[in-house]
Amino acid sequence: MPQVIETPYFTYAITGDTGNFAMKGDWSILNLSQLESQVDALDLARSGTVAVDFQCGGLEQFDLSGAWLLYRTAERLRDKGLDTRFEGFRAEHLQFIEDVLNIEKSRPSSRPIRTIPKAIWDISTSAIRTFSRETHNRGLWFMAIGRGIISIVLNPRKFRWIATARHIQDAGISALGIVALMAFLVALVLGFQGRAQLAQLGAQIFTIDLVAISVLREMGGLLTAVLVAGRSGSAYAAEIGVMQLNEEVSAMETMGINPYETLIIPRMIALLICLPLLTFVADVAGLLGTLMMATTMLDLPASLAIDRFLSLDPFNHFRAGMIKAPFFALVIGMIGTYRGFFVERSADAVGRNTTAAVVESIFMVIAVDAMFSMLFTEIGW
Amino acid sequence: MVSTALIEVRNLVNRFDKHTVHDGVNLSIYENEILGIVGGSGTGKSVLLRTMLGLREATSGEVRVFGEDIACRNSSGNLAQCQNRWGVLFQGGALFSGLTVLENVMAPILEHIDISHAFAEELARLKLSMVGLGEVAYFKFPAELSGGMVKRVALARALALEPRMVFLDEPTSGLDPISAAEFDELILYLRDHLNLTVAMISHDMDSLLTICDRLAVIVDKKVIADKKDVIVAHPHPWIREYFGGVRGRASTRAA
Repeated sequence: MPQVIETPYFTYAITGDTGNFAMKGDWSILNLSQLESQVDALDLARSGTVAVDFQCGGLEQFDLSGAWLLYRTAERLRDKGLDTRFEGFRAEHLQFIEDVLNIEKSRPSSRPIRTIPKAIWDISTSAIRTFSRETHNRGLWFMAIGRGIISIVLNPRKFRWIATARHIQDAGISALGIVALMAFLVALVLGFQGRAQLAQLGAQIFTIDLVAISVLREMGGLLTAVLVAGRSGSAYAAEIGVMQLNEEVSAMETMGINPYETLIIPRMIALLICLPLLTFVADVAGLLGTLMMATTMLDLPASLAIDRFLSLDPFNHFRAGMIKAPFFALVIGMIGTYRGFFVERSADAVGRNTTAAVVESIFMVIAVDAMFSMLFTEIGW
Repeated sequence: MVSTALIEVRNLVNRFDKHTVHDGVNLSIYENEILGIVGGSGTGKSVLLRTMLGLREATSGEVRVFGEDIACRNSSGNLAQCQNRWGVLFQGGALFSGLTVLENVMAPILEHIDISHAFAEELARLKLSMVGLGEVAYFKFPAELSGGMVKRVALARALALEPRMVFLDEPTSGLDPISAAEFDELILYLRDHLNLTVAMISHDMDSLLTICDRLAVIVDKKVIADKKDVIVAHPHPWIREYFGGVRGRASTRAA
């Protein structure tokens, strides 16, 4: 007695030991989702069936994906020892699938097989490779910078005044507003928090000491450096990285233009000039914030607050904060330009390197700051 | 046999500020043909392509894709439907750099069709075999591929959703003549086997003269489109110079 299974895409009927698979409707990629589940749900190879006839009488659309599903189904039946017959198919589809499968079968599978020891081995060797490459690149970079500096010292006409001026504009002048505002607000915040704690001891007046010294010694320089690392360090990595990918750097080299002299030294010089000046601006804005904090939160007259401030030996603190600025500038400039120069050749590398430049330079700025703190404690500044 | 037009461009005008690129362009792309789009640098071949794809809104004029006006794409889901029915090979390949070759081809399938991951992978492998790429390439990232392989992967990705039509932007640029000829063969083979319609921008005289059925030349801000032989013999001075130049003669002689 014939059994019949009816779905929108096929009718499957079993007569005796032969299955009759009549395809209909659209066997195209858009219906593949239903097709896959309906065909897979059907147990074509149930016991007793020895052959399956595929017929395409009612087939409307048939594309390569549909053909592949059909072929796959037939292949599975053949693996189970059943006979498959195709009737009334357009020859080009079957021919096409055969072509493709011949190509596919002639190739050995080479999917990378990963075992845990192999993964550990891969990760550790790649870490060693990365480390040695980075060390090598940094060596190259310092040598090239050294050569660039020497050639500029020997021949000062090679110095790029205009490029340097542009970078001073970008890294310094356009950062003035944000740096001043940030230092001013930080002074207010420190004052607000400091007063709340010191008032418990009845020592509100020391809030001025706290805020002024923090701003001059640490906050002015450190926060300015962090801000510049985020603004300019990332911009350097991105600009030079894009130029590198664009082969602009190679083009310069072929023209006999030293890219280190043209791209790196002006940026480094600009940062060396700008960062101390920005730190100075941050200090001034922070002290203005301190003054405002003293007059509004502590209700001190301005003259008294200034007297208190002058009694702190402010120049000493200013010097301790200021002397770090050029070192911060070197760290930010070196990391930003280095990350731009040694970018790999792929589209997402520029983004990755820019992020790395910001993270590394902020970290290094804080590390340098910590070293200076220890040094100043030793020598009693 | 009268073929139907899959794409019809009517009185298309494209203007950038005061600079007019297209001024009344008419162009039809018929089913199952290979149409070559030719034009001097800066004549707006890519602009025309982007307008047909709906990536750019025309200043005025009409683009009908599979019989529907692309301009009304905002009101209905027309464009989304079209995107399942055409594939595009961008000039630089435009492969997703963060995905492997296999994942690049699977991406459109998994996005649009709700099938198992394993089945999608089988389909992607099928498409990659079809463009002549072996297993070795499947797990590489785009940055590790040669120019010719990038083009093949991009073509496989363009074909992933079984489009009726593919747009190719300079498919053979940057390939050596042997790889370019192989790529031409591939395009022809796919057209014949998959019943594809192909529109390609190209400067490669060999592919223009060997595989294209019709040529569309952008001159004087308009398009002149006709059978290959008619265009090659066209009296317009730019076209004569283009096909009559030394390089063109070498190609016709070879053909």
